[in-house]
Amino acid sequence: MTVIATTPGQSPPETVSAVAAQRRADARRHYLTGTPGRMRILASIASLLCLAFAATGFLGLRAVDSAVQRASANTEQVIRVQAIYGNLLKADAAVTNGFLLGGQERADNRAAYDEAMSAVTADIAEAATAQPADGNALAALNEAVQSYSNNVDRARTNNRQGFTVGQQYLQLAGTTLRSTALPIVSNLAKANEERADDELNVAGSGGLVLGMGVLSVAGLIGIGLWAARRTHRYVNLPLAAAGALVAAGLALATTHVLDVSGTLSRVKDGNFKAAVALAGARAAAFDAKSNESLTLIARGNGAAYEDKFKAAATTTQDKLGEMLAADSTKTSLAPRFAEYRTLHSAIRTADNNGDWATAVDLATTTTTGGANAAFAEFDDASSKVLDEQVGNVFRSFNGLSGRYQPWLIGLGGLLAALLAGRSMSNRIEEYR
Amino acid sequence: MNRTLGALAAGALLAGLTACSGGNYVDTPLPDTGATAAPSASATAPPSPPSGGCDNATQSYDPLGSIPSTDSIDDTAMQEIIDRGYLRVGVSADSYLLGAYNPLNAAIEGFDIDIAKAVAKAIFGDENDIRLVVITAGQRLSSLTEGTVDMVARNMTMNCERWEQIAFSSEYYHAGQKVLVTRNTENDKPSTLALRALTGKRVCAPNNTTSLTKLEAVNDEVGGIEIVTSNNHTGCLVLFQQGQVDAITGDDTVLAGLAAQDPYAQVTTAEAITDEPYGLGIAQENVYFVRYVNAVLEKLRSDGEWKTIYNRWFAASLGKAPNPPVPVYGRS
Repeated sequence: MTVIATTPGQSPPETVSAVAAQRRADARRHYLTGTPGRMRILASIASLLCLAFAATGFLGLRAVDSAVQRASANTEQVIRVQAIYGNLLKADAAVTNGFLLGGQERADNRAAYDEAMSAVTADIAEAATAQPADGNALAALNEAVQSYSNNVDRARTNNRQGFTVGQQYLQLAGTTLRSTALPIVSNLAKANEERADDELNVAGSGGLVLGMGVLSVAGLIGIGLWAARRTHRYVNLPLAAAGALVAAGLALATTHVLDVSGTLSRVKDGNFKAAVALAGARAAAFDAKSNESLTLIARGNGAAYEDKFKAAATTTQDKLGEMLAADSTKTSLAPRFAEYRTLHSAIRTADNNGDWATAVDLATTTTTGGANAAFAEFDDASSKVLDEQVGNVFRSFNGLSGRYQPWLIGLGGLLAALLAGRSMSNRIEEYR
Repeated sequence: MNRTLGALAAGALLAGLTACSGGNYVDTPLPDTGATAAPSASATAPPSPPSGGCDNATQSYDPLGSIPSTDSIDDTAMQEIIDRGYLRVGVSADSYLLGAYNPLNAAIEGFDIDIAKAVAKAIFGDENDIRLVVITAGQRLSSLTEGTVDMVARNMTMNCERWEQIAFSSEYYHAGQKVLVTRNTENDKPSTLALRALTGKRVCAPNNTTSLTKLEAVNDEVGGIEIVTSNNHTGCLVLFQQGQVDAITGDDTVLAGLAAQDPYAQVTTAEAITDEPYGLGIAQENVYFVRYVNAVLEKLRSDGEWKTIYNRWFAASLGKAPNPPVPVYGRS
């Protein structure tokens, strides 16, 4: 028989194990209970708040920056599409004016048409690359532009031979342009303006960051106050440091979001609005110029084109008014267009009095003081203003890139989370 | 516990921010094109003008015995023209060979224009003492009733309904509805196709014209012609050149103008299926001026000038000049 000797007072192994398990269970039960337990829970909450702020701040501000970049890209697409619209009508104005001279079309008319159509082709290619969602519309536009260009070529060829069918092809080209191509361009402009508008509203991402920041700071202050009452110490240094880091991050995020929102709002209601209005004014002016020539080309049948001239000229003046409301410094354009309109009236007077030849001379001369020269001055001046306004828009966008803010807030939040997680350790030790 | 909460929070946050980030756009919509602007199937055209109580629409007033010297004319309306120093004539500027703007010499020229110039030359001694006022087809009557022109020379068919509003000179051209088709390039023989033989083909005629009415009537008889319309004959030529129609129908004068602009088009030698007597339009009350113009036309017929003018404009497309139309007088 084997006898196992035992020391008096010693428990058997089974008993020791049971006691240890009991102790661990007690420790677990009391880990989250009592004051030390609540301290652990609050430290965890404080740490989570800081982590949440870090993540929200980092991702939120990155989202704001991305939105700014997309708004910039969409705005660029709007301006590109507006340029397509304007250049199509500029080409049409050049070809119709040249048509009045028959086979004697001036080289500068031809060059203006070629230059405008080349710009259209290049802009369509760029636009297709810039925004895949515009792909189908741009493909349809490309087809319509090709059809317009083909009919213009047929019109020129026949006109050079003195065939009246050339006039029919020119009218067909103009109809194709206005009934097929330009409505597609209008849809493109509208769609991209809406996209840009959606992106320019950064309140969603910015509000989330600021809301999370306020919640985190408030939570940390609340936890700090609770800890002060429990531990009779005014300041929990790690917690205070975490709070300070989150508050600093909140201030940085607030400044950045307000800066972005303010700038975008100014761009939207300022240079961008002015640029869109001026692009519209220029397009309508080219449309008016085309109709001036078409009225003379369709001699005797041109009344409808003069009505279209009046409508387009009124649109130009209205759009110039809209531009002035957004950019009050560009006051010289409306008088320039009014000067051209006065010269147009002289053309109509001559034609209405039966002096078609004089009317054509007035409409086609390039000498100073003529309608073409006055229109060219408006074209040049408005083109420069438009370039300036577009440049201002993109300078504003470029100044908004907040590359370092998301990282600063993210890292600061992580550090704050570490500090907050350790903020109650010393106090808990005092309860052991 | 902490890790679980953190993972859940981060997941929700990422989901939220991803939703905010955007960048995926709906395709830009294409415009609703609606009905196409191109050729349309013909609707009903207005019927031919009914006879308005006159027996013979080609009957005009007797010509003056001879063309009087300008000094001897005491008719008020003609005196006004003479005092003005030029004749105002309503013309077309886009009817090739009849009245069309020629960009090469910056002039409106054609058969109608030469006839009008002959009248100006008779009055003033210079065919250039004329002001050509370009009018639409729809302005042919109103320009006379409103007095904005002295005469209309714009391929206007004489009919009784028009006689109720204006007066006509004697017939100066006898047109008729014919067919224009693609030239046979293999043997270059003139086509003899008649409108009735165009079953299964696409044939173009302008809206609101008697040519379209006649085309529809022929189609009612033979069936199978696909009728295509355009705003005017030149519009039909564009459709013809684009391969959207196989033939065009209209007055032979107009078709000759179209054929002259397209070496691959020709007017067939088939008989005309209508009679379209052209007259110069003059205000109803200016009977003396009508008689004066009839005297001028008599001279053009008798001295061979009418044939010269015809050959200048139509010989290439319609062949050598026939005899001029025989005038009918006696209207009172």
